[in-house]
Amino acid sequence: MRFLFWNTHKNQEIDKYIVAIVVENKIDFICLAEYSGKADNLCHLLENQKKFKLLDSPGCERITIIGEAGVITPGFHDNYSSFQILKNRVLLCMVHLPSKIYCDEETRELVASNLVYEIEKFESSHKGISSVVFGDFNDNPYKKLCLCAGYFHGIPNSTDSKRIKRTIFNKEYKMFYNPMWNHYGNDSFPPGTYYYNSGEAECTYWNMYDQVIIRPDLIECFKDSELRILCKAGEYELIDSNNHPNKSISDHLPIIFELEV
Amino acid sequence: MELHLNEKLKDVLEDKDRINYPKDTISAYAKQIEEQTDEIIQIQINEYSGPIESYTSNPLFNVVQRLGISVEHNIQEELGNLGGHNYKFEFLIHGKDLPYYEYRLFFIGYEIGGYPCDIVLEKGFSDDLNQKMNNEGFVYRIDNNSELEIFLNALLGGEKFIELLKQIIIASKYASLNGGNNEE
Repeated sequence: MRFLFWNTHKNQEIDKYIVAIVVENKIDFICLAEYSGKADNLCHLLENQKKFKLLDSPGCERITIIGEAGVITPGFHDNYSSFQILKNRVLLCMVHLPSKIYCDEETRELVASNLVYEIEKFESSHKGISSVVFGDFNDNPYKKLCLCAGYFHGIPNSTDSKRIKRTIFNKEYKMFYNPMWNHYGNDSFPPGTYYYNSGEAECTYWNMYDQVIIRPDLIECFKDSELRILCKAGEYELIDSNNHPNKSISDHLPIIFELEV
Repeated sequence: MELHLNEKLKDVLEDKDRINYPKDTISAYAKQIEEQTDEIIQIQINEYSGPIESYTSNPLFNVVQRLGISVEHNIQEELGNLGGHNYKFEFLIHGKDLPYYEYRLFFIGYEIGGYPCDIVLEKGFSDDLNQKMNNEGFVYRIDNNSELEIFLNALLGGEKFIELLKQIIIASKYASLNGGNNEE
């Protein structure tokens, strides 16, 4: 099953780009943040591909989910996340976490730790279901919120993440594998999903805000090679002449990935 | 020496009405919601066991981290000396035929006397309610049963809550028509 996540920056004309991505990449499941297009129109444009439908996420207005009817069942919801159960095997946790611009760091960490609590609460009461978290984390994989125990605990290397958990001061912390680390550096372009020249002392220019992290027991179902940050949507360039996200389309680049479920 | 306690406590001793604890009031609203939605909307008011400490003796984020919710920094000005909650509950909304769905609308905490109580509201709703009530923040200090009823009337009678219920009802009806859970 192939997934698309994209923060579409409230672009009301975004639908044609989404259609191009879905068609070219054979996407089965679409998750959007800051979506201001017309979902019914989008589903209609996609009807030659699949019978797409706007799916339920009651209580979470920050995330729009489009896929085939009957594929998912809604779980926990709050302002920043939509949990959906896929085929009684995978808990999809779609997130659009608060931005540093609008929220202080302590509050962002509270949101993250609360989500992790809800994920683990569900996993412990539904054995055999493992989680995939994806969306706009509004932070980088090496930052506390994404990397540290007590928060998402996304480990960069899949082998190390297969330790499953580690114990710190007598408390166990489960791990995720974060494959986004593979996309950093000079060897691949783009080295991130969001470009920002902050002018501050710590500035990486490219940020990996849009991510997917998976539980280690789903690693065999996940193809690292199919995780991509897209620069094109069919014939449309998502990158401008400076090789940065084209803000007239969106300030974020979309990510796609595949899970064998 | 005579203490004359029966005179000093006369008003309380002669009060035959049961004290309305916040949970009782909230439960009554929950029952209304269930009845008036033909039981499609189901409410759970669960005890919450996370530890809580005084706002004045601990950093703010430690307190609300244990509650598992977020709070604005001006909470100390708003609440003063809180002293802790003996009773804590979460208000969870479920939908019939949606076996996994839940939405936590708020937490409520209070001491043995019932009031004042503190309600920590889901952010999307607090933003909406704050516009109507000329208030700020996620946390609401409620001093008595009448204030709680005013708060709940504004929250549960508001458009945002109605819209949430509509979405849950639609999802529930769809699930019911399609056999409840998804199985492939």
